Amino acid sequence: MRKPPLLLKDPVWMKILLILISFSFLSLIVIIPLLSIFLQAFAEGWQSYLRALSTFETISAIKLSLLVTMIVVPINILFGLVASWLISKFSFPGRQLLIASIDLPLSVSPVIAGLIFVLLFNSQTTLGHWFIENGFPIIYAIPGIVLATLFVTSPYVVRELIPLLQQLGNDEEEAAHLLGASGLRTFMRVTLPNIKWGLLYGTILCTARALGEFGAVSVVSGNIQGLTNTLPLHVEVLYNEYKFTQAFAVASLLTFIAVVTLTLKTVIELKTGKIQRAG
Amino acid sequence: MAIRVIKVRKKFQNFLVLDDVSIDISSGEFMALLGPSGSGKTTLLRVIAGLEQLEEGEVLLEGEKQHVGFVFQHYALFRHMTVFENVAFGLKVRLHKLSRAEIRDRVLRLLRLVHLEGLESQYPSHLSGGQRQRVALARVLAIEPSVMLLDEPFGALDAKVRKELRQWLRKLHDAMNITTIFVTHDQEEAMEIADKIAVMNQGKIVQIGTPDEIWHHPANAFVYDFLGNYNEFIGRKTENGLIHLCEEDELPKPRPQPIVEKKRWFKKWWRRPTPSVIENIPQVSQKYVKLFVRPYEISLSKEKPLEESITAQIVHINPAGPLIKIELERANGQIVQAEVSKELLNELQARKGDLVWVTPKSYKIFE
Amino acid sequence: MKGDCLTKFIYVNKYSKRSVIAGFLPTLSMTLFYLTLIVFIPLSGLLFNTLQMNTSQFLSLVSSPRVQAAFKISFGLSLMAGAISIFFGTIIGWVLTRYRFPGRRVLDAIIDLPFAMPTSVSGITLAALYSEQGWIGSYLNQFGIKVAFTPLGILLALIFVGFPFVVRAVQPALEEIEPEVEEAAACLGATRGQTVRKIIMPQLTPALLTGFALAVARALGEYGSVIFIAGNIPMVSEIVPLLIVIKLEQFDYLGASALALLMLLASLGLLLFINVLHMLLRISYAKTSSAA
Repeated sequence: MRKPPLLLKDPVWMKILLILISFSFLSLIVIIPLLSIFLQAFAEGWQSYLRALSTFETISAIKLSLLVTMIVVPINILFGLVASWLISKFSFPGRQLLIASIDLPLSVSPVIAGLIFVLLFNSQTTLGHWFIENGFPIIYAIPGIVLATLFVTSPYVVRELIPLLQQLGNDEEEAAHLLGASGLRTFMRVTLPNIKWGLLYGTILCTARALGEFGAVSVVSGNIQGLTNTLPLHVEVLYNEYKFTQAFAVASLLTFIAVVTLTLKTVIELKTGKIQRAG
Repeated sequence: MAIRVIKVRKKFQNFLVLDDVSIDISSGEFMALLGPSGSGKTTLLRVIAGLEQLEEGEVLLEGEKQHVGFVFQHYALFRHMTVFENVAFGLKVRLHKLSRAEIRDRVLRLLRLVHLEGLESQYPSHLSGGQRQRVALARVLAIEPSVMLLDEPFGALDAKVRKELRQWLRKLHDAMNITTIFVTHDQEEAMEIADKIAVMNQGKIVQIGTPDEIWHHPANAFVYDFLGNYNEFIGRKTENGLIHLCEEDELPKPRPQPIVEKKRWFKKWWRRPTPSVIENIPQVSQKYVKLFVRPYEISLSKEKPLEESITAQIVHINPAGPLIKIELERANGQIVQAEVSKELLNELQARKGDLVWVTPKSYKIFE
Repeated sequence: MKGDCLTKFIYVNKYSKRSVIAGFLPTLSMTLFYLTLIVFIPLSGLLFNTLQMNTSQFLSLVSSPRVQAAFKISFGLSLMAGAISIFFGTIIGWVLTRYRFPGRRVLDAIIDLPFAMPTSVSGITLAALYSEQGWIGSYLNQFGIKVAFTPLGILLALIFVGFPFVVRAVQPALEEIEPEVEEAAACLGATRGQTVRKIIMPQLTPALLTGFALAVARALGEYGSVIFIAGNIPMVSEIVPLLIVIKLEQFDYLGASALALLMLLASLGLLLFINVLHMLLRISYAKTSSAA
C-alpha cells in the first residue's frame, strides 16, 4: 500500500479564505482610511492643499508641535538613559514597583493624563493660582502641554533600553572600570555605542507620540487657536468647523510623519535583526 | 517486506538530500540508519513516515491502514497537556474511539511499561530528559503502530541514560516485535542494538548489513572510517604477493608539490594521524597499496619479527580502559595508534621513549 | 541624625558596591525626582481631589443615569471590540506568520499604523469614511446599516485601535510553536483540524489573553479616535472619557476626577482579573522549551 504524505499544511481553500478575510478586514479598517486621507486632502487640488498648510493657524500649530517635541524628547531621552541604567544594572527593593510606575502612563487614558494636570494647576488650587498670579499659567498654556506630553511619552525610551541593557550585561562596563575609566566615561564610550539602535528606536517612538498626542493635550490646552493648538488639535478644530479639505490636508501631514515613523522603525528592526526576514 | 523504499529522490532548495535511495526492511526487523550529519538519514526516516514530499520514487507499506509511530529527536511533547493526555492523544483523535475507561486502562498500562507510573498528571516541563523520552515512546506505543521510527531518540541525553534507554528499547522491540527503524550518528549505538545497519553518506546508502558484516567487511574506506579509529600505512607488494610496510627510505620520492594536510574530525581522545608523505602516494598502483589497520590489530615487539615491519617510538601510554592505548611516532612523523592488552605491555616491558617494532596482524585494502 | 546618615550610607553602599558599576545614587535620585514630579504627584492629585467629595455627592454622581449609561457603553463596547479584535487579529497573525504571499511584508508593517497615527487623525478619517456621505458609509447605507454617529461607529473605532495588540501578541506565540509538535500530532493520527484545535490553539491562549487585555485597556481609555464617529449622544453613544471632558468644560472638577478615578479602578480591576486568568494558565504548564 502506498504511503501518502501526511496532511501537515492547511488546505489551499483555507489559506485563500484566511488571506481574503485578512485583506478585507485590513482594507476596511486601515488601508482605505489611509488612502482616503490623502485623497480628501487633495480633493480640491494642489494649490488648495498648500494654502491649507500655510495658514497662520496651521503654521502656529506646526511651530507649537515642534516646540513641544523638542523640549519633551530630549528630557525623556535623558530620563530613559538614567532610569534604564538604574533598573537594569542594580537590584534594590522596590525595583519592580518602579518598573510598574514607569509603565503607568501607558495604561492611563490620555484624557486622564490631561485631567491630572488640570486638577493640579487650575485657578482654584493654590498651586495653580500662584502660577497664574505670577504670569506663568500652566494649563490652557504651553507649559501644561509640555507637562502632559512629558507624562504620556515618558515610558517609550526606557522600555526600549531596559531589555537591551539587560541583554548586554555588565561585562564591558566592568572591564572598563577595571581599566580605570570613570562612570561617565564608561557610559559614553562603552555603553552608549552598544545601545545606539535601541536608543534611536525609542526616540523615534517617543517623537511620534509627542507629535501625535491628542487626548491629553486637548484637555490641557484649552484649544486657544494660534496659541495653544498643536497639529493634532488643529485637525479637530478644522473638522469641527466643517473645513474638511483643510482638516485632511493637515491630517495628511501628520499621516506622512506616521508613515515615516513606521518606515524608520522597520528599517531599524531589520538592521538589528528584530524581524525575521521572509524566507 | 514490511517497508519498501523504491528509488527515492528528494531535493531541498536545489540541494539533493536523497539520491536514488532504495531499501527493504523486513517485518520485525530492528534497523539503524547510520551516518554523519547531512547524510540524509533523518530525511529518509521522515520520508518513510510520510512527513516529506518526494520528487521521485515511492514508499510502500505492507498491508492495510498501517499505523506508523514517529519519535522525534526533541520529543515534541504537547507541553500544555499532562503526561496522561499526551499518551492518550493518539487514542482520542482516532476514528475508532475507545471508551474512556479503555483509554485510561491502556494509558496507565503503557506508563507502567515505560516505568513512569505515578507521573500521569505531571506536565512535560517538570520531567527530566529521559522521562520525557519515555513519554514520547509511550505516546507512540499507544496507537499500537506496526512500524516505529525514531529520530536520534537518545541524542539529547547523557551517556549513562543513553545506554540504559537503548538497551531498554531493544528489549521492548524483542517483546513486541514491532518493525523499528532508528536514526543515529553514533556507530557504537548502532552496532550494539541493531539487527541491520544501513550506512548513509551524502544522500546515498553506502552499505547495508548486519553489524558483523559491516565491521568485518566494510564496503569502502568511508564506512571503515566512520565505524572507528584506524591507522593508514603504505605497503609494498613483494614477489610472493605478501605486503610489507614501507619505511621512509623505501618510498618513491614524492612529486614536488605542496603537502596537503587533511583535517580529520576528532573522535574521543585520539588524535588522528596526519601523515604528510602518504597523501602524495597514489592509492593503489602496481607496487604500492594503502593499508587500513585498526588500533587493536597492531602488534608491538622488541625484536624484529619474521616479516619486515616498521619501527616507531612510544610517545604516550594511556593505561585507562580494558585495553592500553599506546601512541607511537614513526621517523617520518606519522602517529600510530595501537591498543594492546595489559599482559602484552607487561611482557614487552616498554616505556615511553622506547623504540619498538610495529606489525599489523590484519588489515584492509580498498580498491 | 548621625545614625540616620550612617544607615543611609550603609543602604546605598549595599546596593552600589555589589558590583563595580557606578551611578546608583545619582540615577536613583534623578529617576525618583522625575517620576515624582511627572507621575506620582499628578496621579495622587487625582486621588486627593476625589476624596474631597463627600459621600452624597459621590453617590448622586454614580447613580446618575447618564454616568451609568456611559460606563455601560464604554465597558460593553470595549469588551466587544476586544472580542472581535481577537477573532480578526488571530486570523491576521496566523496569515502573516504561516503563509507566504505577495504584499506580506507591507501588510505586516501596516498593522502598526493605528499605533503610530495621532488619534484625531484616525478619528476624523473613520468618521468621514463611514458617515452617510462617506465612501464606505454610503455603500452600507444602501443596506440600512448606519455606522457613524451610532454605537457601531464607536465599535469600529475601538477595533481600529485594539486589533494591532492582538496581532502583535499572536505572532511571536505562533512562531514559538515547533513544527515537530504539529508533525507529532499528525503522525498520531490527528486531522489538520484536530491539530489546530487541540494542539495549536491551546498554546496560543496565553498570548490571546494578553492581546485581549491590551486591546480592551486601550479601548477603554480611547478618546480621539472615537469622539468624531460616535455622535456623542448622552445615554446612547457617549463614552466615559468624553463625559470627563464635558465635566471639565463645566468646571466640575470634582465630578471629573471622581469619574476618572472610577474608570481607573474599574479598568484596573478588569486587567487584574485577566492577568489572574493568565497566571492560572501559566502555572499549570511552565514555559520551558520541550528539548531536554
